[in-house]
Amino acid sequence: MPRKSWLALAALVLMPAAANAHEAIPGVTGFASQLLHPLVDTEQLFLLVSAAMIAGRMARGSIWSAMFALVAGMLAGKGLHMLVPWLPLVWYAPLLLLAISGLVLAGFSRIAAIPGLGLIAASGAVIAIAIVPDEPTGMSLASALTGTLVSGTVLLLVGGYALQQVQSRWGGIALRIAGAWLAAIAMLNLALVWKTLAGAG
Amino acid sequence: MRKPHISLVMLISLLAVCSTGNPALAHSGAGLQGGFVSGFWHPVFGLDHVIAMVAVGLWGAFLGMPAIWLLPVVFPLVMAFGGILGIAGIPLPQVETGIAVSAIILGLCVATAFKPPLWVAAVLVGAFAIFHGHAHGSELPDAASPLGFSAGFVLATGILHLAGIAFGLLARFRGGAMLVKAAGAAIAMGGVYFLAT
Repeated sequence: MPRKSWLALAALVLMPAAANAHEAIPGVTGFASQLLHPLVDTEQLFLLVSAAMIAGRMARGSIWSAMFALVAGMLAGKGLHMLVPWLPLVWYAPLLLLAISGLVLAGFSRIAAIPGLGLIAASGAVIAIAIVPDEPTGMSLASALTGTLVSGTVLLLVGGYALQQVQSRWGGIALRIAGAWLAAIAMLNLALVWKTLAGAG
Repeated sequence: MRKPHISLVMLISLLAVCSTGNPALAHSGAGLQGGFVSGFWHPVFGLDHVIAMVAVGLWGAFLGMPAIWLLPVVFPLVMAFGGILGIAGIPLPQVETGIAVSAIILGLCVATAFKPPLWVAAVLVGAFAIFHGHAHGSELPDAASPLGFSAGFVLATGILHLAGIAFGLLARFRGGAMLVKAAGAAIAMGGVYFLAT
């Protein structure tokens, strides 16, 4: 990592006041809160877990491509959100993407690079779109985005790498079953969001 | 001095936890955690759900590859479809009867070592999954945390499948097949009991 990047990260850690979107865990504020946000927000956590599972089913050595896809997706998603603040289907997107990722995981024991990286990038974009800092400042947004980027990439790298090492038949079966579980959870909640929004509308 | 084997210690601990479990179930809390806990216990506390889920795993293990993983994959996906019907408020007739019949049919499939083509097994299990999903999905909108509730009941359902698969793998050993068939017969009788009551 370049020295400037380390300095920027250190500045974000040392200036927690800039990252006060909301407390992911009561009592935990600042940059630590942003780091933990994707891990305590269930939708975001499920998306990151599914992204790690997809990376785990891709060819060995593709873990770094997966990481770049996640980061690029997050940056592109946040950029798009800044250009178009009211994106269509924003309420459905996380669960819809989770359902698709789950179905892909349940259906395929190996996932090719292009669809895999596409799903990971889309997951990153959807997660980043959900980042809304309380303070409308560039620093606050940068802090929130950095926190999510750091925790997201760490989870993807650790989870994806660990799963890539699992080459046994039973490991593949476990991932397929877990994919079906994720898809089922997403589809149920998609229906509930649809019902809630239809009722409100 | 010889140390006790770790698995024995774990077994004793597990038995202790299981036998003293009731006080810990006094309430399920609120929010995501409460939703997850109530969702997790929803299939576990319904004995008709439990025996049918275990039967799915038993039958999958009995049928071997690829049914051993295909049935636990098909079940939650079709169960979600049933759950969506429940969420949408679309009534499904005789839900409880369907759940009891699922235990009878799946139990008999295990007891008789019935080995149909894979697609027949998948369709049969999927058809019953709709009833189970409808029962869970009807309660989803009222849950403390719908996401937590759905994650809980999908996870519990999957664990019950895995328990059935684990037990069903005994069929590979001498005498184990008879034990698995007996479990299937017991599940079918349990289904008859739930149908009658």
